[in-house]
Amino acid sequence: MANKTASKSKKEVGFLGKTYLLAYNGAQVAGWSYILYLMGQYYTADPKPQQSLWEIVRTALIIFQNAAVLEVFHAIFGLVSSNAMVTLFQVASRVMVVCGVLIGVEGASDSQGLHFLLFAWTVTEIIRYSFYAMGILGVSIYPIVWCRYTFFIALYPIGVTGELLCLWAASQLVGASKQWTLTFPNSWNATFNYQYFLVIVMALYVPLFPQMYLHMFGQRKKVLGGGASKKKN
Amino acid sequence: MEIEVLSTSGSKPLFTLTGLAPSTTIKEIKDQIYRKKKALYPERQSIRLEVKGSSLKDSEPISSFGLKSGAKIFLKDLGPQIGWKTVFLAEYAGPLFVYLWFYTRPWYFYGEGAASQPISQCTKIAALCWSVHYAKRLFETVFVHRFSHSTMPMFNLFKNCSYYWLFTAYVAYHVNHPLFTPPSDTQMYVSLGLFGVSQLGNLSIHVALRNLRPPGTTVRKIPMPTSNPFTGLFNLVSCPNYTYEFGSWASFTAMTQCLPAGLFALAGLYQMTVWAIGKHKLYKKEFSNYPKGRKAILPLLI
Repeated sequence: MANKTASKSKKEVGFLGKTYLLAYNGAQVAGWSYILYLMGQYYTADPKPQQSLWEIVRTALIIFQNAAVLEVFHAIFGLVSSNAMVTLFQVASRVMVVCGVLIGVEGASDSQGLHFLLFAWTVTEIIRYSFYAMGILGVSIYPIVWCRYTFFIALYPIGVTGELLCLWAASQLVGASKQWTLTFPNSWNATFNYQYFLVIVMALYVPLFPQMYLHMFGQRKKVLGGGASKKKN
Repeated sequence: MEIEVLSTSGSKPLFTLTGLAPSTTIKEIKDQIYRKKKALYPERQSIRLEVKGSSLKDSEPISSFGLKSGAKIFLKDLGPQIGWKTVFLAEYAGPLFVYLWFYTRPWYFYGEGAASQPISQCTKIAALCWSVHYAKRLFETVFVHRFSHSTMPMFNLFKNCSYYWLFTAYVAYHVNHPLFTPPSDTQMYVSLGLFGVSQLGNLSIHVALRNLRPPGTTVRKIPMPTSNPFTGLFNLVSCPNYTYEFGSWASFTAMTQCLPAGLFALAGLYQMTVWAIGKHKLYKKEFSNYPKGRKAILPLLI
């Protein structure tokens, strides 16, 4: 049988695990590249397409973004060395935007924010998953490492802007339609206001985004270091 | 003798302390450091033998750690500190005021005219229970609890008060709402009874724990049941005060049949379980004769 997760006390992933991860990361690189390709088609199409950008990318985005939920389990089961909580927050915010906003709220995908976030997410994810695939294969292609730890400087704020714009658009729409909102009276004496919920999610970006952003800068310093010392090919 | 003090961040050398004797206590070391750097009052200091080691007790002489002249110890700056009592008083006074404020049904939460709507018996009883609970907590903070540490990090004041005050607003908004729907009288009164039992139980445990520790000391003993029957729960769990506390909130939830109150009960249970497991492990480590069969917080379960 294939070499299962090693008997060493250190978390060493066996051949089966590595194959799975390589396939997962490879599929994600392919998926996000496809989404980027669809975007390219949309922006360069002449005349302008009938369908909106959202309608064009929607299916692929749902598949490949929601698949990222698996990454939380990869972290929990030690298949990767990432922190499970951090991964959970990152994936949760993405899933919230895709499911809770873009799919969930009719009209939210008309927001200009969609363009920002699609651009940021596709470029980031293509680089990120390529970087992980590299790691599994044991190769280090410096340009990819450099991109992984540099592009975020612009892409993170761009993506967050897009997400916040979409969240805001959704909150306004929900405020009018009262979607997913429970009022008094009811036998469990509970209420839920989806508009307030969306606003609270937006407010959470205030403490959480700087933390994640600064964390990446810290990682950049560690990995890219002074520059010259880390150059490898 | 001399001892070198290094920082826990990067093992940077900070001070050299001189004129020490084997009988010099950790407290006296902290005082010396405080004289050298005014910002580092003793409560802010954690002295360890290793960067990630446990804090050395103030009362211990340096001879008990085998420290000779030239030895190195580590200092961690715990950050600005605030007294435990201060934090407890702030975090418990808030819920008392916030809940009763919602009880008056301010128009900016409930709209005009809400205050003149009838108030159900259940809502009144709930307000009484909530107030009694937090008044009891304030009383215990001043007269019952004996704290092992005198301070905690300043940031905790903000964090703890946010938790208590915001959750109070969340629960209070629902129970005091003009359209709040009470459960049956039977459910309400049975739950009220259970709430009372839980409150008495929790108080009994707090008093028992206080009597376990002589005043002015930080002695630690295995808690055992006393003549008070409520303390019998010690036979089943290490932290029956947390068990009774959850009992109070579960009863309050059943009494009001209010989902937000249930969420509050679960949040508290989660945090108390984490604490109980920690304390349970510490007891077992400290006392080789610690009673087997005791769980941390929920009898027979956790």
